[in-house]
Amino acid sequence: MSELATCPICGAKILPSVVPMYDDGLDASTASCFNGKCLYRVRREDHNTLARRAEIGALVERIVAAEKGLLTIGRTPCRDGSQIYSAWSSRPVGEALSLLDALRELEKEVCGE
Amino acid sequence: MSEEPMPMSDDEITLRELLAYAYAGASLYADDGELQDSRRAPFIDFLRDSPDDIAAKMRKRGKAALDAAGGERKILSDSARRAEIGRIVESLVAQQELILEDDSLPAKPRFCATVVGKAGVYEPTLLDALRSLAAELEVSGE
Repeated sequence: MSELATCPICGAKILPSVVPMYDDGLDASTASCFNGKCLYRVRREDHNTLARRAEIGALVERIVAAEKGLLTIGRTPCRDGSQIYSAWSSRPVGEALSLLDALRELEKEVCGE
Repeated sequence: MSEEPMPMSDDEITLRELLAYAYAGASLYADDGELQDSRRAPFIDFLRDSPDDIAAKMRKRGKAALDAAGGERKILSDSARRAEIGRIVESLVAQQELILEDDSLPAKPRFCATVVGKAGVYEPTLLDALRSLAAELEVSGE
């Protein structure tokens, strides 16, 4: 089982649960935020995708707001079937195996640590 | 006449200690057997406050933090918007190089999203620009 990403809303740990979220007969397990004040709770199978996309969205928003100019995001397929993602604003910043890592690098460069 | 507090069992003291350390971490004041979190009001005394008082103080602190961040609804809508931006960016980048720009003028927000070889799509928000571009390119990315 892959590790659960942190909560896309408050950043707290996520707890897996065996309690079904919906009464749909599927018995889908859930991912619930450990922070009792946070309402975040989704199907476990959807959680990491949702958390990754929320982080990509947050990074893109921050970078576009911080750096005037073009934010370019690209993907380069490699011969071995893998792919490299690049994100650059004024100049290329690193190369990463995931879009999220490429954006994290660029955010550090543009917005500071 | 003040009421004498009920003596606590060893289990209750252990649970209060665990809660105090889990909640306040290194900020917990634990000298002389105290278990106090005075980082901000309302102060929590994990030894003397009743469970209901501790829960009420935690809720009050949580609400203050939420309000400072703009409120629960805003936090939820921010997260939903960012998740949708992330979804569209992922699906567009899977096909082509994506170019984004904040092209706002004073008092007129305007964002541009485009791919190489296409005219830019201009919208008042980054999400709308990405939505329009995805619609134009017929990229759904579900």
